[in-house]
Amino acid sequence: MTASDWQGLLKGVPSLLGGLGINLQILLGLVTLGFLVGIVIALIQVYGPRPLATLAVGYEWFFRGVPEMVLLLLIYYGLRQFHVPITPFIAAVVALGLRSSAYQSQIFRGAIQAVGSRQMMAALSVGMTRLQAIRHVILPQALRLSIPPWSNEFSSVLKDTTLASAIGVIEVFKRARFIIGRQYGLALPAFMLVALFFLVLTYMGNWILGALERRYRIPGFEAKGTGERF
Amino acid sequence: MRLTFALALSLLVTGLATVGAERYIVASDIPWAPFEWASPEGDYLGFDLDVMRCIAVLMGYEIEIRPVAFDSIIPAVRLGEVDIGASGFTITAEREEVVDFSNPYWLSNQAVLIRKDSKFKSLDDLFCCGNKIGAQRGTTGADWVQSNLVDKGVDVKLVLYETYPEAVLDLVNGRLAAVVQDEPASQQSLAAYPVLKVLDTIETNEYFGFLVASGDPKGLLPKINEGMLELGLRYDLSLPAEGQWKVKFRILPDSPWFYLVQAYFGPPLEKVEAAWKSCIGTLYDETLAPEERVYNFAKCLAEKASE
Amino acid sequence: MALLVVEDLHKRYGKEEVLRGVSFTLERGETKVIIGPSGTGKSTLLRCINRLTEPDRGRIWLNGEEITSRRTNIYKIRAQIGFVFQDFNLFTHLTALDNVRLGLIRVKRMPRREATERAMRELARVGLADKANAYPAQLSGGQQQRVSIARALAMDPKLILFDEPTSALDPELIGEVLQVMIELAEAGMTMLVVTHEMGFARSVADEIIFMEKGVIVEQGPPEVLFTNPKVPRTAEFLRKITEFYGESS
Repeated sequence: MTASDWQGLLKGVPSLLGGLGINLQILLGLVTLGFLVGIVIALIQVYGPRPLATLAVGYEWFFRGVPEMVLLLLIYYGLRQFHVPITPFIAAVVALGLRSSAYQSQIFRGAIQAVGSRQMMAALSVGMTRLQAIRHVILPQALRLSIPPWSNEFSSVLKDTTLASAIGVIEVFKRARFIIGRQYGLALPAFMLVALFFLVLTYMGNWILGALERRYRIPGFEAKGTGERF
Repeated sequence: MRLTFALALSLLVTGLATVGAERYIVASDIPWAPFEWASPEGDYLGFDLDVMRCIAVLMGYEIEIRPVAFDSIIPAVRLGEVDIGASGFTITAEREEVVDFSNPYWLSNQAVLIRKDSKFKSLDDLFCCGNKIGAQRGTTGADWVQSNLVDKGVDVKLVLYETYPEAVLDLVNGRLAAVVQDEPASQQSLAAYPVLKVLDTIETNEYFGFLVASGDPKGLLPKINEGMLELGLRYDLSLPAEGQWKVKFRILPDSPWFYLVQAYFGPPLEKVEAAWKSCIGTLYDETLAPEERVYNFAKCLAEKASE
Repeated sequence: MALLVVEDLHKRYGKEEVLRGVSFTLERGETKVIIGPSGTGKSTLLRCINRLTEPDRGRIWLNGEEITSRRTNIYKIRAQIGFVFQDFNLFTHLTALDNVRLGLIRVKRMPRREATERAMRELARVGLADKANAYPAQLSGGQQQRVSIARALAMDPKLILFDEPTSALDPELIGEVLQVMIELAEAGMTMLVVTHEMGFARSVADEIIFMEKGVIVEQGPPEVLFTNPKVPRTAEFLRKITEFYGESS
């Protein structure tokens, strides 16, 4: 790398960091959406009536099956076609969030089944409604069990946020291309810098989740039960 | 008190002006210097974009510049997502079928880039033997390789990339034998990698135009064409034997167009960026007439960029 | 009317008919023990009583209110019927105190302070006040089962159902749980107990119910059933079980 390359790269760092901020906003939005929808889908799959549960399985099948890039374009251009004034940012959050919800629902479903039907039965036996039992007995345990597999999903969706560039969100990857287009010699260095950013973010994210797991760890807490429907 | 009143009045006036002005979205594949790129501060500049800005000032409308991947611009224009495509589009018969073009504003040929250390002495050496040739997807460079070499059975392999820098990087690293790229943009590749050189230029005689949706539903083409004339671009037309229009550009001296060309084709990008930063204010100086604003801006840009 | 009336209860899982017409009653303050070979529907019967399992046919009344009616608020009924599980089924993520307190706060809507006092009283009653802040995994099986009894007691139940409460325990831990149950019976709690502990059955039960293959084969006071059963099958079962588990615990 020449001196002017270094200088160009250095000048580009604020812009890249700004772009990274947009990736983080997308991440926050999509993870929240995926979490809320994912829990609902998982609960429907485990506790819902047959037709709804089947529908939820179909939902999961669809959003896990369609390539995320296709999903992104489908939602953005599809909605624009019907004159829904959706911004690229929102489209990215929705598309990636729904996709993540399908994966998260699988995590939560597994965790709920691992908590087991006996915990549900015990809660019902003291007079709780199903919703109360889910809220106060099943979910607190299932969410704890979900943290380790959830870390994987987190790392995966963090990287997916760069796909938003395809529908025009000016995030870190797109900005790296801006820098490279201005100074061709930065093609490798700029992408390496972006890679470094993501490595650091993944490390930080997993560290935070690990801390969360330790914070909410309960003596001897372990999965038990048979995973049967109840 | 008086000051407050004046301020309120001016806000009201600018507010009304804003409400009154039409706003159009200009799609451009950033980066493709010097026609369009983003400065480290995040400003979108370049020849295409400043021509668009100047025409907007002259014709009394507003524009918003939106970066869109090159091969998505025509679909976006057709969908009504964006109003104008300004991204060094070559006017071709295929594209004319799906969009409408303005008058041409640039003539470009394709440069064939190779490494200085490679053995190729001529295009004939290169276009054979299964050599890999790179280009950006959706560009006329890629089209030319496809239709003039691959489709005609010449033994080369076309490798497509989403952006030119990635293609050029593969050339530098030896994974490609050559890259076919628009002449003006190829200057950038040579500046970045001294190991590269231009083997030859293919006379494709490509005319660049701005494009809008088929049928020009918003009536933009007359404004763009008139704007280009006002900026100082003239045409000498001739009809050669084959029946193909031959356009020769003539640029009026001391015109905004003249200065924009001077500013963008020559000086290094950093100097253009610095100049743009200090000159762009004059383009939106409401105290002057639109023609003066455009002239002052273009001249300021050319002077500061070549300092 | 008796506190609990069970009338002609039927339950089928697929092809297998687990309950084939079970009827009996339970008076206030009475302790009845259900015995019988495993797989004869004893646990299913208990679960049908608070409708953790829905019976296919038959009717149940608690205190004159029909549990099996579709109009009944089953959650209210369940809050009045304590249930002690074979595997304790304590809420794994909660301390002993929170296990006992959860139903009071969420179901009975008791203020937190009052719920805590009440829960502590019940923990003391089963001898575990000092383990209030322990998590289930930090308790022995016997201690866990005593917490689960405290959890049932805290709700002020009209009746407690015990589903083999000592079967999952190491032999040396069985005594402490039975002791708590004996004290409860003496204090006048109404209890329906499924167990293999014949010593407990003999000394505490007002009546023994012998079930096999989904029906009640014979029922009567322990002294009659243990010494002079009318049905030969009862005698055979009692002989086998005493060989297996011994006379007393």
